[in-house]
Amino acid sequence: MTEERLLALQEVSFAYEGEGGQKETVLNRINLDIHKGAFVSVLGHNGSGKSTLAKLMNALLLPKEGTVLVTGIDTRDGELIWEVRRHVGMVFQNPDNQIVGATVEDDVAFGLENMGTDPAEMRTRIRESLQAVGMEAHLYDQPHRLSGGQKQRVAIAGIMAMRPSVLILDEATAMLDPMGRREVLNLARRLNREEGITVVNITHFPEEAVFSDRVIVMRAGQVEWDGTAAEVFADPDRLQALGLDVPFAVRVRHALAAEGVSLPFILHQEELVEHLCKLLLKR
Amino acid sequence: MQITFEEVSHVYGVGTPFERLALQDVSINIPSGSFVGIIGQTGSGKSTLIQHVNGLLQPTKGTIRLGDVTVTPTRKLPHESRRNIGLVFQYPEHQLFEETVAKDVAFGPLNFDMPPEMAELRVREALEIVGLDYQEMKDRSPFLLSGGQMRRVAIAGVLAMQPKVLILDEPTAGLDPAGRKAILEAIYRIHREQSLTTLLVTHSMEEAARYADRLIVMAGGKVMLEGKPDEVFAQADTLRELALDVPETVSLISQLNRKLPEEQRLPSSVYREEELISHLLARISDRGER
Amino acid sequence: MLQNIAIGQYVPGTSFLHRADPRSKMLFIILFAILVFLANNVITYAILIAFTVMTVMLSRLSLAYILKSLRPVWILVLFTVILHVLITKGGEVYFQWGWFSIEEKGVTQAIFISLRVSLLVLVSSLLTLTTSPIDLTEGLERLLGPFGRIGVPVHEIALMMSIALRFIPTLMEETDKIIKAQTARGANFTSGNLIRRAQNLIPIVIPLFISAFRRAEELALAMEARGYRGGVGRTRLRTLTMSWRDGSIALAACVLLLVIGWWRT
Repeated sequence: MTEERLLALQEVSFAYEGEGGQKETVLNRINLDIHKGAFVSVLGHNGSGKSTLAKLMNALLLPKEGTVLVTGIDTRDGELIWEVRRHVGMVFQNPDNQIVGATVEDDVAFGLENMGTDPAEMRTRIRESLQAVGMEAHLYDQPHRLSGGQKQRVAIAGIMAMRPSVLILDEATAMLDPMGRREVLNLARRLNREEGITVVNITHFPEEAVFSDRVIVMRAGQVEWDGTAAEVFADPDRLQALGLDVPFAVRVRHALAAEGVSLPFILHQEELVEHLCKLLLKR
Repeated sequence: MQITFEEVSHVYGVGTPFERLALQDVSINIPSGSFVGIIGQTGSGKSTLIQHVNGLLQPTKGTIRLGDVTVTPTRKLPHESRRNIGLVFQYPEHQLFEETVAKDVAFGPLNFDMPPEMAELRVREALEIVGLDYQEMKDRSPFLLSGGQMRRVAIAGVLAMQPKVLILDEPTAGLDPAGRKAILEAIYRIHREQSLTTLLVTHSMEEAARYADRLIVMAGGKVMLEGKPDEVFAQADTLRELALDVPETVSLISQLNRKLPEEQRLPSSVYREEELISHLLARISDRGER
Repeated sequence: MLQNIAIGQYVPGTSFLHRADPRSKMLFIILFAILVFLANNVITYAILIAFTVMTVMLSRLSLAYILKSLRPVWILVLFTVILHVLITKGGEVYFQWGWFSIEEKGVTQAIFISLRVSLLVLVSSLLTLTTSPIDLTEGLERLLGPFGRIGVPVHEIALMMSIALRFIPTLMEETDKIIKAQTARGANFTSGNLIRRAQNLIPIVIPLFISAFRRAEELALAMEARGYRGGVGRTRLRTLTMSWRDGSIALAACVLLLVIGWWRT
């Protein structure tokens, strides 16, 4: 299988103009390739530059140095910027502040209207994408009557209707309750699996990263670590030093290892149960 | 301060088409000095419950006792009493409004007619409790701080009133792990040092398991479970029916116990992570020696 | 407490009026307003009253409900009636007690004025009662469309209106929350003189403004991320189409215009 490069960041740096004109570097010479169909999690504490990274990926910000390529298009190409934004959909943190429409239907239509889609085609796509996120029963509902998780699913539907290649969740679960968080994450995983959407999930919940193909850890504007979930979570001390949590199973294994009880590497609780049982039942 | 609810009900919008029963015959007793975790889905009545504790809402039916003050549908909580009951709302940083951090934190104390010198002292203490340096922060604009810092300033604004009861509605929502931990540790410290009665509304079973010595589980405006954490977590089926999790420690133990022979089972009353690990280690070394 | 300001709030339905195009309803109201001011005798007013009753029936809403939803307006009408009866003098004197008198002109004036206001309010409230705010915005954008050519930012105005509609409930909830949060910090909004009370509002108004700005900023970013670039090249989900209903509204308008023109003195 040939791996298609969907997003490519080459030597990307970004700085904000701080108070009094001095530059505050947020990202420093980042190199990243994200392939089609991947589920990538980006971990990092607040201020590590992970949100800036997301905004560079759909041309909301443009790199000061280096190049960001989306399906081969340079995001600095002003004429193709709309193409870039159609390809890379973004869900933000606050569910209330990204819904434009006065009803669910109107909101899902917003992106399509911007693209100049024909109204008849729009209706088909709205129906399809609301079905994909399980919100078809709420077509005529007002957004403020929905739960946080439902609002985020509507936001995802609005993006799916534009037929994107990449879905970026920019801390999209941070303000949700556990139920809402599960709804949104399960949806993203399903869209990735069934519709082949590439997902970049920016988060600080380690439980969300466990399910991804790849985990990128950001620190002070640089990629500190880039590997599979198993590789990254194998060193809980290093993650905790960065102000990040690790999943429960990893924590327990690590605490036992510190007392000389070694278990094979595990990420999920089921594996932990299995290994502990073996150990406890062993004669 | 002891808090007692006797058959308290609350109805929103009485006599309008939007009438909604938000609390139904809630009877609870919170002993002075306890740290209570209040758990429930969004819309389960948690927020309505805590707003009754400091008189922002009045019961439609029933009686609330706060120390020696009694609140009924016809008797309001006196203004002075409100000072004893600090309420930190969700995303409390959204209520900041003053030019400087010090002025904002002093808003509460000055509203309760505290002399300015005394208020300043309180501001200093409160900022230090939440881990902010008074000299460095006092003249800064609260709006130019980071999200986590703003949250702490807002919490300090409530602590500066020196309440005897501290109520927090999801104080860690939206923060990163480091920020969550810092805030909870600060709250836990002041809870013990000043022997406060603390009510923590949270969605996180992990937070509840770590800090609370009592839990109240709500659903549909009613109290479904109440008791010590191990008693509540033992009702895993009820929690699951309410679409709530048990802490990962509890679910690990129950999964292990299902597979282990009876004499080897771990005590189901364990829910703190450190305790779990020491139990596991003890079992494993037992096995090794035999 | 904040929900009570819903004068003429939309009631979903499928009546003739609900299904008529918002543009024809709006144009008709403009014409009706002119007719109300042209009417100047018993016959013309009787025609307008009859017509209004008919329109209410076409909306399939209960007259009692509509009248109740307009309660604040009736207080205003009552006030105008009293004012006219007391102040306007002339004609036959019906009642006199010292300087206080009720005279013929005052009474007729009061009746006509209150009829005018009532008819206007009633008919325009039917617009908002039978048209969803979204359709209202949509209709307004189409009606004002021609002004776009002379530089009026019609699309932007309509978008602003629909975003405002979307955020009103959110901001109301937020206001409620901030008031409660400041009350919990001992703020008192009900005591003191006028200046003191205005000052007391600062802890509410400032957080609200800041929050509104933050929301606006985030919303702008989210809109941009979804490819928003102004009205150019944009299509619309909602298309407005005229039907036989709108034809009959136009016909009714013409008939009414002729009848009133004929009978007025």
